[in-house]
Amino acid sequence: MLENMHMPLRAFVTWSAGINAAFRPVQAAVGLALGLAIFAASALAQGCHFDPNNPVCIPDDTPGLAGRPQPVHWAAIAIVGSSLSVGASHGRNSEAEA
Amino acid sequence: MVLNWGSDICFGLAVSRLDSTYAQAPAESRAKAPLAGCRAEKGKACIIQTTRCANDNVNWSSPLPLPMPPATPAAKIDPGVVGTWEYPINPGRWIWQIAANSTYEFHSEAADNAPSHSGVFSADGGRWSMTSTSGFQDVDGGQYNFPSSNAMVSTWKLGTGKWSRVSR
Repeated sequence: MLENMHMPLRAFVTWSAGINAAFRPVQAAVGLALGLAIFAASALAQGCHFDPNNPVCIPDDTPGLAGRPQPVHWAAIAIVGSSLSVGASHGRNSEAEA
Repeated sequence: MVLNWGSDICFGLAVSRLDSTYAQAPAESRAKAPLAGCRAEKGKACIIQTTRCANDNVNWSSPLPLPMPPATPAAKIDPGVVGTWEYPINPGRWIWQIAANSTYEFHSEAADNAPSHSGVFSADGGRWSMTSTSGFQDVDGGQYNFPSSNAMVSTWKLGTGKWSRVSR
């Protein structure tokens, strides 16, 4: 055991990989799971989201299904000063429409 | 003359037709209507003409806020009428909110162009009456009864209708 502590890295990897060839599929599966977990964690950390059927993590400041901004509505009021007739609009999609 | 416009905001407009005075004000909510501004302009008969919020449904008239209670509230208001009621209009509905402090607000959520109004209200012993003080000028009244706990049948100038309770 003490000798192992001084074992060069290459020799250690060779030694550990050679323990039992039957464990190699298990090692591969564990490695894959770890990799996916690290990828998901980094995606969360950098602030991105996944759209349906799109494997790419889209930064949250990029418009997408999850990051779509709320619609903006406009209102306006107007009056005829001489008759006090009032005109107004609401729920319009643009400033010009209002 | 366009007085104001904006997004995600409410506007209120108060007028005093007696002396051709008006005032408008933007606000975060419909409740902050510019009656005080109209009176500051020496308006002697200021009423809220309209309150519009940018996110009001474009398909029907904007509601008005419940008015301030009258200086001398109705002597009695039947507690059974207090609440929010709806009347079916195909397609859509009318909404009638009656408050315990003798005020009401009416607006339409139907494509019938019925104008919004609000004002003072009384109901007692099977008879009701209302006088608008904001929006469309109207005086109405009639009889009412409760066929069930969540229904009210009322008569008014234009006929008879059955209202369903939305909330108390």
